[in-house]
Amino acid sequence: MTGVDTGLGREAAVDLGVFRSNVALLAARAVGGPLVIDMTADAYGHGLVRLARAAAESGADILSVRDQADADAISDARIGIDVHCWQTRRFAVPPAGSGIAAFGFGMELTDGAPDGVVPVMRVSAPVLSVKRVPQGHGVSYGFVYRTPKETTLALVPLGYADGLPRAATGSGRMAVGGTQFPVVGRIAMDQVVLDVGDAPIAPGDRAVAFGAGLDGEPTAADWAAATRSTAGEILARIGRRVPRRYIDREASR
Amino acid sequence: MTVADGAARIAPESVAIVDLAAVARNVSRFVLLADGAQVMVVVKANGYGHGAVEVARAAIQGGASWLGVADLAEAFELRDAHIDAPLLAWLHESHENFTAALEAGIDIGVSDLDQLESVVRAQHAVGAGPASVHLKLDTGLGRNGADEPNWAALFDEARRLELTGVLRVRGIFSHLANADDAEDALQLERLHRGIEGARRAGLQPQLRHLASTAAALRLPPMRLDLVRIGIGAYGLSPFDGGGSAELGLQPAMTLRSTVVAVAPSSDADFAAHSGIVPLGYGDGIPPQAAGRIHVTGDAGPLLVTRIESDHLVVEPVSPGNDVVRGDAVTLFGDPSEGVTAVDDWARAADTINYEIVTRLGDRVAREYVS
Repeated sequence: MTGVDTGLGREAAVDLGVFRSNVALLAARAVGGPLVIDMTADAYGHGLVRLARAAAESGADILSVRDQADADAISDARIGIDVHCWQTRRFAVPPAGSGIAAFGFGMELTDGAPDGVVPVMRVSAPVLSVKRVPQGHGVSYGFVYRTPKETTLALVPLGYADGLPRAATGSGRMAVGGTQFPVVGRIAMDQVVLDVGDAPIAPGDRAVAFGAGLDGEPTAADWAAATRSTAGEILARIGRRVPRRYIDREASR
Repeated sequence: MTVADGAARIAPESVAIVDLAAVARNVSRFVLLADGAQVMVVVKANGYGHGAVEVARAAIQGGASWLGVADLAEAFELRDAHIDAPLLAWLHESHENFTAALEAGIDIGVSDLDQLESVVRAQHAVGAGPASVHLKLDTGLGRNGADEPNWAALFDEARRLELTGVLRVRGIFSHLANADDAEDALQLERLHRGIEGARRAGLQPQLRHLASTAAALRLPPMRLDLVRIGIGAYGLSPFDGGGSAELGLQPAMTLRSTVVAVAPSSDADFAAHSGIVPLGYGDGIPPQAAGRIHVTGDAGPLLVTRIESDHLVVEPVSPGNDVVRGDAVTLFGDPSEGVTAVDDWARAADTINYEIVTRLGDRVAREYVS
C-alpha cells in the first residue's frame, strides 16, 4: 500500500458497549417470543460481523439478514446464533420492518423505541480550514446561501458521497465542541461548509455530523426529519470513505 | 436446504454494469471539445461510484492526460493499482503529511501557507526533486482555496521556495459555483487577476484550470489550459433538465437486479403480484423515489412502490404483465435503449444524477465491460 490511508480523518465510531446494552434492554422486554434483530444493510451500516457477535453475546435470539452471503459471513466468524435470511427461502418475503431499536432509534411504524436505547454510531471529521468572510459571500454551488453578515466559514470533509443526504441542504447541522452550527450552501460530494459565526473554531477541531445526541450533537433522526428520510437510511448509507472505528470498553477491561 | 432453496441461490445477484468503452468515448468527446486544452478526468468518490481504478484506465485510453481526486487516500488507491498518469489531489488537512504523496509522484493542490509548509517538510523528508504543486484560489465558492487577500503572500512564498528548488508551481486553479453566467464570469475574472499576481511574483504556472464539465461544455473561455471532467466522463449531464444524448454522451452505468420473490399485490383490485428485488436503501437506492419511478422488467414497465433497507417492491403498470420470480429488472441505464435514466431517479428523489450513482453502495457488485 502506498502511504497511509488517512481518509482525511473521517470516521464512524461504533460503540459496541452501547449496542450491547440496547440489545440487553430489548431482550429483557422480549417476553414470550424470541428477540429478532434486523441486521440487513450491513447492520444498518455499523458492520455486520462485529455487531452480530455483540448481539449474540447480549441476548439476541435470531438475526435477520437478506441473503446467504450475510448468513455465511456470520457462521464463518463462528458466531453461534440463529440467522434467518429471507432471500433463500422459496416464496419467502422480507420480514416486516423489525425496527432498529438495537441501533438506538425507534420504529416509524410503531409507537417508538423502548425508553433507554441510545444511538450507537457517531460520524465525525476534522475541520480542514476556516476562513473569515464578509457579508454577502456566496457559499458552494449555485450560491443558494450568502452570508448574512461577516462570519467564519469552516470546511468539513463529509459530503453526499459519504452519506450525508444532499437533500439536507438548508437544514443539516453539525456540532463542534458541543455547539451546533448550520451546514450552509449546497451539500457537495466531498465536503460541506459550516457557518460558525464568531465561534473560535480552528482547523483540526472535530465536527460531529450525528451521534447519540447526548453532547449537543444532532442525531441521525434529526438529519432524517428534514429530508423525507429515516434514521435507518441515514445510518445505512454512510459510505466507504468513512472508516468504522469500534469502541469496545468491555473487551479492553 | 431443499433443491428449491438451492435454485434460489444461483439466481443472479444485483450488479452495476459499467461500460468502460462508453467512459473512453465520453472522455474522447471532451478531448475534442477542449480544443487543445488538456483533459483531467475526476475519479474521486470511487469514480462517482463506478470504480476509480477501472474508470481511470478507461479515461487514459480515451485521451485524458491527467487524473484528479479529492483526497490522498483516493490518490494512493490509483498508484497502488500502478496507474502512473499525472494525478492531482486537492482536499487536505492543513498539516497533512505529504511524504508518501510526494514519493508516489502525486501533485498537491495547495490552499494556504500551512499546506505549503507541509509540502516543504515532506520534500525535505523525501529528498528527491522539487514537489509539484497547484495553487488553489477561492474565486467565490467559499470552500477551500486561498482568499484574495492572502494571494500575494502565498505567491511570494511559493516563488521563494521555487528558487530554493524545493517545489515547482505547475498549476494554478479554482472551482466554479455554476451559479449563473455573470457569477461564473466574475470568478474567471478573479482567477485571471490571481494568475497575473502569480506572474508578477515570478511564478510561471503551465496549467491554469477552472472549468469542470458544465463550463467545459458551455463556456469556451473557461477552458484555459486544462478542463476537469467529472460527471460528463460517466456520460451524465451536469445540467438540470438536460439528458446525456443531447450532449453526445452515453451513460456508463446500468443497474440490474432480479425478482427474487413475489407477493400478492397491495392493490386488492389488481390481480397481479408484487415483485421483490434485493436492492434497498442500504445499497444506495433512494427511498424518496418510491411511488414516483418506473423500472424495466421482462414483461414491461414496473412501478417501484416501496424501498426498504435491503429490498424494493415493484408492481406491473398494466394488468397482464405479471411479475414472475426470476424476472430481470433494469433499474437504470442508457435511456436510448429504452430503460430508465439515472436522471429519472434523480428527479424522482429530488436530487441530482451525481448523488444517485455516487451513493450506490459497495455491496452491489460492479461488472466491467469494454
